[in-house]
Amino acid sequence: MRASSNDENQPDVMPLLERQSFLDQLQDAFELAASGCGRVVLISGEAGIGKTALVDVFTAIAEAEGARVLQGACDALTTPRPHGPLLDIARAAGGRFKALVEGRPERERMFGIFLDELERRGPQTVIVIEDAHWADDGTLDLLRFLGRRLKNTTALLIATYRDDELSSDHPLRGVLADISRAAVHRLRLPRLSETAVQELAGRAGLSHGDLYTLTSGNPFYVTEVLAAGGEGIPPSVQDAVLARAALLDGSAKRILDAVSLSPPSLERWVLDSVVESDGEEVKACLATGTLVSVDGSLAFRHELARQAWKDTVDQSRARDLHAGILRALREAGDHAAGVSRLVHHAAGAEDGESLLSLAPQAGAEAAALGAHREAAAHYALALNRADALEPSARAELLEALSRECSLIGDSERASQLLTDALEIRRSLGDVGKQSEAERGLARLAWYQGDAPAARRHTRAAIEVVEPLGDSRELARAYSAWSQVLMSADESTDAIEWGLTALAMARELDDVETVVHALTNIGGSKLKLGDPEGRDPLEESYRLAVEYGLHDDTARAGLNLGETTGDWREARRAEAYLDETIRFCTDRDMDPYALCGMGHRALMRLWTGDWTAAADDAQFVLGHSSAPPGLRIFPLLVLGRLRARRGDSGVWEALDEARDVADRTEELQRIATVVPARAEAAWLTGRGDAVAEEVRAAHQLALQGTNPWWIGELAYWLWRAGDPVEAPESAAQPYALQINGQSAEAAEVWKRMGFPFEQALALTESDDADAAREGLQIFHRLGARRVADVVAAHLKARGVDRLPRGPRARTRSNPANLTRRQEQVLGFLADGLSNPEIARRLRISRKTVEHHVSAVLAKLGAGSRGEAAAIARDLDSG
Amino acid sequence: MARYLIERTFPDGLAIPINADGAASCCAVVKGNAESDVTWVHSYVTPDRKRTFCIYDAPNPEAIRRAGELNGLPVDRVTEVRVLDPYFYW
Repeated sequence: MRASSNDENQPDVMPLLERQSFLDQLQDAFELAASGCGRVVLISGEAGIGKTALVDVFTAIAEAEGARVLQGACDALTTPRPHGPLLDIARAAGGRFKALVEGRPERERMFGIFLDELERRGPQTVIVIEDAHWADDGTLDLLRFLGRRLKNTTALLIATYRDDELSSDHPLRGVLADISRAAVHRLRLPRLSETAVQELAGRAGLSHGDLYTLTSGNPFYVTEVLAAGGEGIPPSVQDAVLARAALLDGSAKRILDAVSLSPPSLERWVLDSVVESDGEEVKACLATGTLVSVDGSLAFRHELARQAWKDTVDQSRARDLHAGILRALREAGDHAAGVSRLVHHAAGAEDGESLLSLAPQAGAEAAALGAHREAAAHYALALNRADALEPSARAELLEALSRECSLIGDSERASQLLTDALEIRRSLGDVGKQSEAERGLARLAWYQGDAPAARRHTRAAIEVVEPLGDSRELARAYSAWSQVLMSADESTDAIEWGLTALAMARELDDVETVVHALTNIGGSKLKLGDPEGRDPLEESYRLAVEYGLHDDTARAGLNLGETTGDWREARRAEAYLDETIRFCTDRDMDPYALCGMGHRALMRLWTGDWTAAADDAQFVLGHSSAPPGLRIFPLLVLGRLRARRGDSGVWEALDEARDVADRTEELQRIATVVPARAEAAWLTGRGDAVAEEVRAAHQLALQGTNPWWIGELAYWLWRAGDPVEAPESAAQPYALQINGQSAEAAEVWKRMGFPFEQALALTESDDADAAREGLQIFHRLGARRVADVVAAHLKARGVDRLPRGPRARTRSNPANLTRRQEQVLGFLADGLSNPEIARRLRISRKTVEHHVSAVLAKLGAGSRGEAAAIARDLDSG
Repeated sequence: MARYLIERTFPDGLAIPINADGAASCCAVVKGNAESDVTWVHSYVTPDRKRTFCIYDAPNPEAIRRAGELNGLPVDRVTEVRVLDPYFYW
């Protein structure tokens, strides 16, 4: 809500001091955005520092230059309205945008509508979202959504927030971190200098010696003091506000009372029904500048002023006013006010009955809009007064609150609430709801890595409804059980139970359970090595996409990627993971995207793209919302990379990976972490320390069905000197290596596209040339420590003429081309074709093609012609 | 954030002239480093200019390698280090 610039209402509008450089920065961002590269500006500072004032001046300039300004502010309500700012913006923008948003579409569509609005050709748009420290979850998601996608629009997004209200775990911090660094400008507004304060005092025709010291240069405080006039300086902001209002009489002050309890403003008609007054008192409030008029409502000049006044209103008066406002809003009908606002007043009026009916409603509305923290707050409010509720309603409230708590990451509280709900359901004999609660507890236990508890609860979910025959709950419980079995690697049973669940779900037309069961069946089949497992997974994926079941789409996609990866089909797995990660990133489904990236890191490690592997791994580990289980793969990838390269931090990563993996009790995790530790132990001379661990893991793997896990663990035992024979079930290349057929093994690895494993096999060969080739591959990959260790072994064996290291790279070669690539570029620039270059350099045409693509990539050229031009520049420059 | 020692090998010898070009080179390296949150503290060079030992502050070894790739600088090994100064003991 913006104050009108009518001088009558604003006797103290003054030009901004010491803000010119910030205005300049805003102008820069504005112009950069106009060139087609959307920008985000974050304006922060303490309360009263003048963020709104700065924004107002800038938006006036922007409008004068033809831009369209859309503004929304986050509420200071006890619990803010979900998507409050977005709704305000849509309402102000009007037209199609307003109509679409008011149709209350689902959240994702709403964000999409907003983005469409920005991408439409037309005037440049400036979006302002104020007081983001009060943002509800929905608005936080909107900020993240827009922040990530503005790059290709001409829009400028300005968000203001109070940085002194941002505790270290405030959700806004996470959002600010997620928005890309490149397109974000940060403006932090400082307090006024002594000179500025003196100038303001001078303009007001006053001279206050101590003004600067007392106010510390806070602009709001300064203006309040100067407006109050008079002698002496009020010792606090609150006193300053009260001083300004001191000129008003009793009945006018009652108006201030009412307005202070209704952030951000109070409609005139509501005011009239709670406070008797004639127009004169209102005029007096406006005249003194204590209140301002905005679109037919009254508001304090600044949130600080409202707070200051609110604190002076005594308890019983506040209760009465809140009750009066609530009554007036309710009588006016459903659209008079959002339910969040009604809850705010019901809470203030301590009206338990109203709260009990309004709060759950507000909670449901917030949940539907994805504002989960707000939904939780509303439900909790209702729960506090739920003693009088009948048990099943109370249980419903507990279940709703538990759901929200688990969505905001408070799984402990979620478990506690659900356990309470379960008790009630049990005493009521409501077996359907009991089963649902047990499944919820199982899911929570799984997130916390407590596998035994997950198992227990799922069993209970089945037992409680099984006696009653087929039902949705039973189908879901069976499907949940098949998932438990799948994680525990009991794949055959998992399939059986999955099929039972599937049949029942199809009968009952429960698409969600059909999708869930198909995922478990497909995933388990793939785990057993049955390639037909791909079909149910792909069907599950397709159905999930069709029915808009986002969670299930992500699950199916991740399952496809993970299980394909378990079978070492690295490239195919990476393709599945790429698609799933993109799907999840588009919808800001961060936890799933992170899970996918963790697995993709391993795929990239295997295919030799170590830089990209490290990128994925570091991204996941650096992300705050990654639960412990997601860290396993990134940690083991980094551990392996550091061991191979000779970098620090090997055991730091691998010890944590092992601890977390052990707690999950899942074979897939243990079987991927332990070989990494075995390899690192070999490289860092710690063989003895991990020997037991590797033997134990090998035994475990033998009880499972994955030949790769069996093979790799057997291989490392063999390498460490254990008298082990290649198990029947071991995967081919590993079995070959253990049997001494390294050359054949190397061929297999080469066909699979696993350069590191290929190189290990080569260096195990008796053939000196093969060994040298292997060493060369280690050099190419940058596996320095491996190369050193292996070179030492080879020398001891008597192999000479060992290749020494990667080609020379000097700083004087700005494009960082190898010598060979420079030669190729030279011929290319002279206009030679690939076959001609191949002839000149006496290498194969395929090799030339490979060099040419590398050169184009390094130069960032799209064609040979471009590369030639760049080469000429490099030569002359 | 931790401190790391980076070993680099320049088979042809590192050449950073003490003139405007050299300064520009260093500037470019510093800028490239910033993209990965990596800070160059200082470096030691062997007389034949073929090996350098660089002290860097960085969040992890991978960030250093990333910056190295961006700047076209070779990275042999990255080791975490702490300072040990005889004067600590007085």
